[in-house]
Amino acid sequence: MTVEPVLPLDVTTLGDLFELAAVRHPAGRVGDAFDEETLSFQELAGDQRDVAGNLLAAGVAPGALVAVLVASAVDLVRATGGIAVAGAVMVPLAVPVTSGGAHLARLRHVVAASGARYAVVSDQLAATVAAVLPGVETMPLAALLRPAGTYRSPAVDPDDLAVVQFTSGSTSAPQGVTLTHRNVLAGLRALHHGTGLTEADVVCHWLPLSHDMGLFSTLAAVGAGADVRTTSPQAFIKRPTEWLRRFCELGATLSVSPNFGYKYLIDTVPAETVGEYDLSAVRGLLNGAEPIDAELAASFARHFAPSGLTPHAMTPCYGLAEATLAVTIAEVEAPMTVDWVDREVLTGAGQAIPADPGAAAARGVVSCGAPVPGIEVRVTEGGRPLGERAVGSIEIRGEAVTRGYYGESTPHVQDDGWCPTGDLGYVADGSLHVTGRSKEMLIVGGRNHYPQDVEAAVREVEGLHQGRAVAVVLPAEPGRGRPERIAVLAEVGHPAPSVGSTVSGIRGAAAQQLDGTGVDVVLLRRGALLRTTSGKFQRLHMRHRLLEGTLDGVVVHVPVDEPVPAVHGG
Amino acid sequence: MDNDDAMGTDPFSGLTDLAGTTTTVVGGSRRDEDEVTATVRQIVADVLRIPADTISPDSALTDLPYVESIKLLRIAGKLERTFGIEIENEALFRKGTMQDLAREILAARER
Repeated sequence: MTVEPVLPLDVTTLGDLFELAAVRHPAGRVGDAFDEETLSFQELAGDQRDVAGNLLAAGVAPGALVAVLVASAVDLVRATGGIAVAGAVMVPLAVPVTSGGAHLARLRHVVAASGARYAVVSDQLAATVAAVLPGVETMPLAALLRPAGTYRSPAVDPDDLAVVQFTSGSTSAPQGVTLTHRNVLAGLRALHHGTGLTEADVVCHWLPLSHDMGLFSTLAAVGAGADVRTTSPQAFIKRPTEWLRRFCELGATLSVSPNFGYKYLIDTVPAETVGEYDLSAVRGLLNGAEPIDAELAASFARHFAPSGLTPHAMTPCYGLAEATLAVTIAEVEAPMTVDWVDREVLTGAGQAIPADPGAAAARGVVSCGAPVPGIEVRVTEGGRPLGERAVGSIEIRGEAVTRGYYGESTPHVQDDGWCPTGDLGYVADGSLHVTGRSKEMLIVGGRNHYPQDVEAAVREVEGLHQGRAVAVVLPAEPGRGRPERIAVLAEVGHPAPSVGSTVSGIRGAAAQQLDGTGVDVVLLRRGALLRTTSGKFQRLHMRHRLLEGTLDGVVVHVPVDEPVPAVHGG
Repeated sequence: MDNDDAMGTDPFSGLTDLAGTTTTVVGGSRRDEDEVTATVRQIVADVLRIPADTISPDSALTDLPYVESIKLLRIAGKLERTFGIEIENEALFRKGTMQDLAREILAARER
């Protein structure tokens, strides 16, 4: 165990973090993996002083929320310290992928809910953001990086807010996780402990910094004095082999990604070319933020063995914005543990009873490891803590854990500090195992999507009876090659419209909301959507009957793995 | 290094013509268009792992099976490399057919 923390305890704010990095690791560097140009930690500290001075000069008061819409990860890091030194609160937001209505609506919705009156934006986005967000003062980053001269920076207390991280769809109420400087620094120290991150590491990832996993992984690297190279998710997806080549050239030792990123590399790097890559410097590949595939670690290790990859690089972890980031991290460079349990008892009685891995009813649940230092984990049902191997709601507590959502009227976090995560799981041998979610949500490509947003998006599709549609999340059916996905159940009008064009219309409208992802479409006769006596749609009941095959009034069910009927010759 | 990651560092270029139209001027002949359409169909088929002959020129991307955001970007990456162009996210995520994509590519090559 390390005696001295990588990040000294007298570092109590994000501003301190960048100043310390500049003094201790002046030559440490942050950059885009595809760019030759990088910034030293010394330059970052200079940027933070200028950004802070210019924000204060623009009238940003301590405690003010500042939305950040910055496309480049490096630019976002440059803005982060400045906002902290000015005593303001960073609200990182995903830059819209397209100018499509769904993306801009989501942006407007979240900014309105946050009440942010200032926005730091990439220079090339300034005009557009100003048009989309009237009433918000838009500040291009270039202007904030101009020399600020001398100014008096406000005192920043460790218990002041540092970051508000919003998670939201476009119709549901946005939830902003509030994090103080104390929370964030505890979270970064937990990452240092959990991964053994030091200045000797090179961290390379392609996560967006508008998301907690990308943001805090990057800040943890800076705080430890490790070089960090980022890439936009789009560049990674478009050019996976070039990215991996750069990853090798940079001598990356640590990376972090949701499960799909690793699976994507297996799919896109042909086996016969793996020997051309040198992954021998890698210590750990953190895998979190979405369900972890029990088979993946072995197939990844097998696929990339010719590159010199250490066999136990894959490191499962569990985290969420409410904990700054990390809750549990499995031991780095140790074999991944899979707990084989009886699937029926797990879903039925909520007990994880060990089963023979070969048994048909066995389900492999990946161990996400023990809690990181400073975080406590418990599993409860109805507020009552459960023992080992009992499935319940995962709750967390600790210095890195949020005190609540921004502006909420009913407290989310209990008085004694326990914060519900919305995830379900159990503890076995001191390790956390995540089995599902208590809220309906779909994760595609690392992004959360909510069925309600899809519902709203398809209402205007021609052929629907009075826009009546509901959306539910369907589980994966590995045997049929179907991923976890959203299904839209819609009543068709009279006279009956063309099935092909209605299904096509629903798929197209849903795809706008889901960045192109397909959905199952179930067309129903008029009146076939089930309602409660008070007139509310019975989503979960319909979902259950659909899966059982007992839903009445089905005209047609076109699953996501089938083409739209009669639209083309196939 | 090739420079087809321009969209990666600035994937939001489409935002600037918010108020503008997305009409593209078609360059090249009908034959060019058919050839490009055939290549587009092949690339889409490869990424979605479905037979190319199940995709017709007027199939919309979102009508096809197994479509998801990651695969659309993968398709864009391959098209960009094949044709040496940049594709705006707009063209990819809007409900367009194989033929629409081919026209987009021809227009981009003209630029």
